[in-house]
Amino acid sequence: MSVPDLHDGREDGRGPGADLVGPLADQPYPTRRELVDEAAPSRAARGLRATVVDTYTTLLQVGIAFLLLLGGSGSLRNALRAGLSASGGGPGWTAQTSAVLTAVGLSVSFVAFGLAVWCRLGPVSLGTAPTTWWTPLPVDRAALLRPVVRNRALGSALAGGLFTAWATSVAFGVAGQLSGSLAAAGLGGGFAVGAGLAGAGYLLVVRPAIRSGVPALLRAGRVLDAVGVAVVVLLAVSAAVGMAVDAVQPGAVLVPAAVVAAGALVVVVLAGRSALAQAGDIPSPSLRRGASRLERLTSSVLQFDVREMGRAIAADSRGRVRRRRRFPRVTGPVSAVVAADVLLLRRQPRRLVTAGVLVLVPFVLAAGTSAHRAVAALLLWLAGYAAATTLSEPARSLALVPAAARTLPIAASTVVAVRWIPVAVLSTLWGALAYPLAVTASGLLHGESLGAAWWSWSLLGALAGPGFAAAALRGAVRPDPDLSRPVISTAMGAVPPGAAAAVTTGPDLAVLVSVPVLLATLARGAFDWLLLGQLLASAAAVGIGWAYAAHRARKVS
Amino acid sequence: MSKSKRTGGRGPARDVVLGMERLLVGYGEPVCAPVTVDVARGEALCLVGANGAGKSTVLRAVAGLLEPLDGTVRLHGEPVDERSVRFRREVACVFDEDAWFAELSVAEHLELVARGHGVRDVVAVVDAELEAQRLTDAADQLPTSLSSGQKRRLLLAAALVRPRSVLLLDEPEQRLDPTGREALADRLLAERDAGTALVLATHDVVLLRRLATRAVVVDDTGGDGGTCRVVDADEAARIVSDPVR
Repeated sequence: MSVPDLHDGREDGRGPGADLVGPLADQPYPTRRELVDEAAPSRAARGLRATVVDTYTTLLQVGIAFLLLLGGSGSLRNALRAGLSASGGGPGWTAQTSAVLTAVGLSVSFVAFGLAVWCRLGPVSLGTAPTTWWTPLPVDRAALLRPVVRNRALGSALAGGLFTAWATSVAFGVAGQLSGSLAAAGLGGGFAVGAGLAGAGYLLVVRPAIRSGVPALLRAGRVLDAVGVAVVVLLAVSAAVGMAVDAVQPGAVLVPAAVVAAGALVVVVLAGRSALAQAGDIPSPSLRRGASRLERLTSSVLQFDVREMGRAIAADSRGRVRRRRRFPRVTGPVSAVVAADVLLLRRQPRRLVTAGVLVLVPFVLAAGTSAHRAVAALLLWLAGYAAATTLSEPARSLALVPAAARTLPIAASTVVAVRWIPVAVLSTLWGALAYPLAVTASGLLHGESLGAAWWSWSLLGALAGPGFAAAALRGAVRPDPDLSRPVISTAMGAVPPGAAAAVTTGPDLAVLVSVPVLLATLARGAFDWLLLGQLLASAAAVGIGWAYAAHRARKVS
Repeated sequence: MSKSKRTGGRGPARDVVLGMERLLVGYGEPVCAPVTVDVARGEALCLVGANGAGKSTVLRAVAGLLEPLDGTVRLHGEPVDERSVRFRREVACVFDEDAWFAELSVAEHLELVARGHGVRDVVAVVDAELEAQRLTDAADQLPTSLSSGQKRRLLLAAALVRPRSVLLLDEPEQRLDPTGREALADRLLAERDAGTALVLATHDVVLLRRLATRAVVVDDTGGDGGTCRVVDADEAARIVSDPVR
């Protein structure tokens, strides 16, 4: 049977001289419209009332979420302003310029990481079912894929614009002396620049998907990852060396922003036309891969499973061959598990890079925005748990592939404790670096006296490391959300309590680990009683984390 | 191997390793009649039955991966607990599931498993097993990149590079090419004759005839005493060859 040419300009896919056998061989293929018309009635059971109610509910929830976000931004602005006043600097254009530069840098980083995720997901794809259904049919693919390109470009622009506008609003709020019109201009400018960059970036990412296929996309993703990391490192270096920022008047900021937005608009128009015109040329492997990843991501979101979400958007494994390593030091099951976990981390260096970047993020945010010193504790909680989580992939794989550990003569309860070891070691190093860095900007690090010296904060962070590792271990083996329990109605909409319990399992233990650093920032020093408190908090976290993981291992195994 | 042992070993020399006593398995509801049988060192017990009869479910219960609805499974007279060190040291499983460490190549996985069990001269053992399973050329590949038949052979290799007294296999012949099936039968025969107690679910008549000392016919009808029938290898082969009869 000859294969119909999909690109011969005829929607029924029959090229000249096609010699087909089987059903429909002597009839024209149905067009896409005919197939849709046939399928539509079975999928259009929803009435007008249901559609109106759904639309109303969605709009209401989005509106409430937006208002809450604005409220949160206001609180954050106040906190930042208070921190700036407390540090003695007072509000001013220099501080504001520094904050805006930080906001711009983080926005660029956000857009770069977001586009890298698109590269890994496949920037243009349908769901698995439509891909399985439509792509083998000799119908015009472009009509199917153009709306996807259009919607995702708009979605990317919206996400980039909102993030940049939010970051700009926070940054502008630092000075606290902006007039309403200037703040509005800053917000609008931030939105335009962010939306332009993200939208243009998405459309540029579509090009390799059309022309070069999956390998080129993955290469582009790695480049974008590197850009995101480089921006964070650059901000950290500039903050560390105390780079002086000359005061910049708002008008001077708006002009380059307008130029960037205009340039992005030109790219959007040109790349958009090209992408829409060639959307049908995206090869099937790219569509199938994107469909598979998207489905994985969607199901993980619906199940509130951040572990699976991370795997869905993670970079692909590098090749299928590994240079063989020997394990001469492995003499038993415990060292075998440790060796396997360490090798996994060595072969997924992105996890180490991510943890490294997360050392810098609290510092960059705290230094760039002159945040209140208590904000540093919040940032360390978030970054510490995120770093430990990214390093705890071996423990996560325990829940995913319990059969691997069963091949070794080691008790199920021991396996979880052993898998904590590499994460604890790396988290200890992480804390020893991140803690003193994060509080540098708050003026809490000075001299060699107990509590104020670098080593005091470093020790506090090092003691917190094993606790973060235990929290990540707890999060790694938590059960899937129990969505069978009745939902609770809140102002934000219906909340499934089972899902909420699952999502907070892990971060809750990280809160306990972070209490001493919060007290230390408020007390203006990592004093000996706080070091003792950190030791106790981490020991408690390790005890709870191990006990929970051992309990779960009995079920998981 | 003596004929008496080959046919079930009714003499006093039988060293029972694994015993099932009115083992009832299922998922809420039983999937088959209860199973009462034991396996001694140097014996191979085959589970036969139609697709969906419950062979794999019985095997999973024996491996401690599924809580029985009723009855017991004992290893050396003690209830099985697959989470315990002793069980994991003695029982090797070849089931249809991914059982390898992420990011480790085929050879590395085998080496870690062998070292984890305290095997000496690991490199030679692993290389020999790779050769035996025709995986030498794939030694540096990630298991996820192997074909389904290669994955099956890797699972078998992982069970054989380590010491064991019991080997549980769920349709090990599946996805193997004819050469692989022949090699599998030879290998399992040698394993049985070396004193390992084997329990395997299979549809392969040749494997059954060459290997089985006894077989359990897994179905929901029940035989004597309402339990699944225990038959000899020839009867089991006849049942597998002509299930309708």
